Amino acid sequence: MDDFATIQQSPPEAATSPPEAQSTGVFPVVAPHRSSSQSWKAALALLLAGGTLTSCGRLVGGGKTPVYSGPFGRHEATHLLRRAAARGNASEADELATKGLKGAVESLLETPDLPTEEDPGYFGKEFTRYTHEWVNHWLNTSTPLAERLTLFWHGHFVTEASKTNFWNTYHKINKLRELSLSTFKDLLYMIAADPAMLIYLDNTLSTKKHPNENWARELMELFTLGEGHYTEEDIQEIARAFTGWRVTIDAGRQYHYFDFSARDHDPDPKTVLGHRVHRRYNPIFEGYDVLNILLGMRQTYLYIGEKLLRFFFHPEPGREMIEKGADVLKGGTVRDFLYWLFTHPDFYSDKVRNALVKSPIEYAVGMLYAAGRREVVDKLFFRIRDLDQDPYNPPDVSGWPLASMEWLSDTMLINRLKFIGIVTNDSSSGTPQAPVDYSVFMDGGVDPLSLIAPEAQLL
Amino acid sequence: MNRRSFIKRSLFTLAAAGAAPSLFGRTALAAGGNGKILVVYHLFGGNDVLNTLITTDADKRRLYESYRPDIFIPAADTIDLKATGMSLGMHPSLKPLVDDLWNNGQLALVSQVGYPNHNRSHFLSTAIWNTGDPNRPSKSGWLGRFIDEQNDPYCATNLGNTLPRALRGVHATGLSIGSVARYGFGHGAWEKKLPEEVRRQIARQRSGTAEEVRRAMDHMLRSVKEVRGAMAKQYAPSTTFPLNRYGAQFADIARLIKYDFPSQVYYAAGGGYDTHGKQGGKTGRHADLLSQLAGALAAFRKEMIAQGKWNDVLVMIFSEFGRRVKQNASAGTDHGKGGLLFFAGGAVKGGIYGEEPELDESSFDHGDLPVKIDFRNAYAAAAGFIGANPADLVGSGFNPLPVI
Repeated sequence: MDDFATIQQSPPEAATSPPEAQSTGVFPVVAPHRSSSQSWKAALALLLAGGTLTSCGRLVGGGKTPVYSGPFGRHEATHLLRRAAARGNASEADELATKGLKGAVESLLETPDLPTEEDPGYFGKEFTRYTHEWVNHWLNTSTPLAERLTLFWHGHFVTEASKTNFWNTYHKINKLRELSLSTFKDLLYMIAADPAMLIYLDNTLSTKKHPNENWARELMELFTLGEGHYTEEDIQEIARAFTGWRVTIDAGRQYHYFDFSARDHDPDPKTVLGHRVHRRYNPIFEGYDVLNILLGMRQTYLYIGEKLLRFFFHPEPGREMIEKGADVLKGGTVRDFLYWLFTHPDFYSDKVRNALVKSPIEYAVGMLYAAGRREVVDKLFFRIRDLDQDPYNPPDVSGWPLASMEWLSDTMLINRLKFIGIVTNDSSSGTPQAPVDYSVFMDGGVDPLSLIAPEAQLL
Repeated sequence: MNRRSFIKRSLFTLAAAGAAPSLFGRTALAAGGNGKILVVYHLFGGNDVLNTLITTDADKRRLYESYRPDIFIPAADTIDLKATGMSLGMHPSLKPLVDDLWNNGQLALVSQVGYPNHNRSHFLSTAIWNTGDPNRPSKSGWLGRFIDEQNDPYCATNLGNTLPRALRGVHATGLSIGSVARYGFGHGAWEKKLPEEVRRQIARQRSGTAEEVRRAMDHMLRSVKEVRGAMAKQYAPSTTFPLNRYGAQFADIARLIKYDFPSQVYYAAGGGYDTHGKQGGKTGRHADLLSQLAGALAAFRKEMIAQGKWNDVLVMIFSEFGRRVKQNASAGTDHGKGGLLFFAGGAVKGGIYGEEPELDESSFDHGDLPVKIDFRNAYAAAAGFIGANPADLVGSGFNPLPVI
């Protein structure tokens, strides 16, 4: 057997800290989940002190940015609404059209309408309820763009409820929604200390004796730089810098909160992408130093900007758009980026209209909304899951396909076509609570039968 | 009727935007393939190795029984495999496998198989087994790379509703069929309208993404027709399969093989192996699962022999990891490391590959059987069987286990 690749015995496992171990950190050790969202905000504010916390309302100015100057009527507003929100109807498109291009884009980019965060007890063991809450919110919110954008960020900063527990991922999604239009820095700072992420990528097991590289690798490969812009040594050094970032379970054992364990932190200096990282007296700041290094690199904005463009613009956005988008994102907020994109002349070209494939959730929400449904009935969860997108369990750490043909396997196309029958049938999904109108869901959509056309799959 | 040429004409890749649709893509069997068929089965949850392949050595048995006082398989119930130089037996539920496969030299057991730097999560372990890449599970599956090479979305088929990552390529993905009998549009008022309505609405060519969707819908119509063809009476297996999940899946695979469906790879999974509590011993939860599996596999062998295909079929059964050596407080076992992989087929060289598990504590890897054979050596053997270059599917440096 010795000609087979042999496997080394893995190193001994990390000694787990005794429960009485004192942990030190800037975050309260006892934090009821209600206020846990406050603790991360306070920490964020503290760490961002110096005025870098971006105000959300600032838009990119400057005369050099090209702005679409063609007609902006129902036709164009329909495209904008479908792309931004993945739901809508003709009267909403008309309302946008009356606001003019800038007014319409600004109204879509309004500060996200945040749902009340429910306790773990509210959901209990009814895990389908988490998905229902999200779909129902998407159907009723005044800021549907925030929902499509939150789905993007959740597919970017992936966690799977099957590993993190549902409430931790629910809480993460809520925070992503709140920061969805903010700076990429705000999002990255939040996610680095997010309990679901710390559990999902095993940082909670990472100690100075046995640093776990899972988070360090994905932080660069999937969350900021993309493949090919760092070395294995950088991964090891980042893993060391984040040792001690872990979670503690709440007294009721229902969810986790962030906690820094100084005794698990590797105190020696690190070198990350050519920068020295060392904080002898405030070791937790080493993690933020690493984030700042990544946030200082243009590659991060090229990578994130391209993903956003593939999700909101075109499967092949082109170098020029990616370069310009990176500039906008680096100098501003996600809102600035989307404002730039939604007012860009190319956004309204024929080549861009209907160039993206709806993900199953977008397909379901868009169709439910068009069919006048504002609340999903219980059994619909399973029909949505049959479309191959369980929003609480992305397929893996690299997330879902980005608005691409990957969604449309034979089986999934069959299920999508069957889904039309289910949604438009009163007896299986309840009576419509709002006017029925398919024109935003699909160009040329007039009735259920018309939704069989390929265009119904597109955004 | 030559189905292969039918498929050959109708093919196009479900490619990402930009790739030219290949209308004359090769099919596995017609061009790239060698006529061999690989069936992969995933026992999801982590099959308990020590109660599947059981020691028959007296000294080791004392340790085994002390580690597992509530769930050990009694010596009298263990079926001795009489493997040369080894003291190993099988769970009594696996009697059909011993009688039909092992005793005919058609069952290879790969002991303590797994991947390096073990992680005990089902999620990560499954991703690693699916992609064949322990470093960073990539987007495409190990068999997805085969599908990409064949440039043929029909060359691999999953028997299940959701396509496993193993069958996702970069340019094409395998087919996913929940059940042959139910694949298609269904018989409700709405469903009945679909085939004709789809045909009507996709008649007109489009451009851009809409055209890609139109082609995908055309492909869907053809795949429904193709799979429905297998429902004809003459393709029903002559063997009776057990009435359980495994039986249904293996019966569907046998049916598609009989129909000459152009897949070279069939993939299926069944769960329930995550036996953290009350897993049972010679009877109980785990025993029931093994019994169902063994019954289905024995029926599949019989059917393949009847079809004259048994020498051309390789069945590979794996689980994402094994379980801990010592039972837990709930009369179950927690996630462990080294697993057991089965190869079965007419061409298989039966026997035990790897070592007989050591049961003294000093040989454990943190309470688990250590991993001693890299799973990619097993994959390499499976890849070679279907005529693929193992290095293309699992990377270089992994010699195929000599099970064929």
